[in-house]
Amino acid sequence: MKADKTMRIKAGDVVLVAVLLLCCAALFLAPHLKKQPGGLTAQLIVDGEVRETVVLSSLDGEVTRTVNGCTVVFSPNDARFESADCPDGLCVKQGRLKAAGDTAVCLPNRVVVTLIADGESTDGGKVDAVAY
Amino acid sequence: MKKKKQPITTAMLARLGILGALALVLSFLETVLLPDLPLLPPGTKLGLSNVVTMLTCSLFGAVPALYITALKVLFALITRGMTAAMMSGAGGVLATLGMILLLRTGQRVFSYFGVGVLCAVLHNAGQLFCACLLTGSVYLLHYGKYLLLFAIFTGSLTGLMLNVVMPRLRQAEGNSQFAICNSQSRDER
Repeated sequence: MKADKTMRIKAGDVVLVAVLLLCCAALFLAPHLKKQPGGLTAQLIVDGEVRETVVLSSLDGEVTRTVNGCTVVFSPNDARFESADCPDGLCVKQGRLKAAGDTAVCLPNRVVVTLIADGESTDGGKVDAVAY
Repeated sequence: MKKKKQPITTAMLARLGILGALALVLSFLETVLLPDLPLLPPGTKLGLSNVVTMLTCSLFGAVPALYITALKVLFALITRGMTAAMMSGAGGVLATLGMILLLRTGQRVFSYFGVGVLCAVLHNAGQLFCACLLTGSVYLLHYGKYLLLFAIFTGSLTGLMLNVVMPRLRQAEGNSQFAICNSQSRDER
């Protein structure tokens, strides 16, 4: 064990990373292939149940909801977590949701906000979104 | 790789203690080191403590690696509560199992680079599933593509680190009294 100390990258590594990168690229490109027209609907999901469905395009101004310590704001163009009482505040850092499929989550408080295109299933994603 | 079944020796206990402490410190450090960059998906981490788990798995085998993982889960439970512990456990156990499998069977095909990437991906996959179960919403899976991309990156980092470190560590073991591997584990090579 003298020369050539550093272990070389092997064939399996390259194949594995290439396959994973391809999967990744496919996941990123997939939503762009089928563009949904129409407005956005936001769903507020608490403890796995759809608490409220808000048709964003029908809003005039901002609408605020407070559940489980999370304050969620819906506006005509986007939805976001305004504040939360959880220690990490990751849901707030996820920022504004603007496109169908965008989702922000507060794990400790079990609150999910997700955007869907108008006319899609509104059952909380239990069946249709399994296709993801 | 087969060896006689024996209770944990004092030396092994000490090594596991040190490695466990190292894993905990690293997982704390990375939350400090990695600032909240807007580009990164929130909640992602470098997975530095995975270096320790892989090192343990490679040097001492599957069971000690699972000990380290269990220790990390316990630490998460004490410091950050039940949700964090479940997330840590789901990701950690899945990653460790994948690592054990690859290190046992795939040493010729994969270097630590591949093992690191796969572990990072499995870790994130486990956490994502756990998060889906906790919130009861499959919409979270949408988030998976960001996690996958990030896992490939962080996994490469930790894996390449081990590619550099492991051969040197094994060499050091031969001529140092401070070696962390004993003759017993050297036989496993």
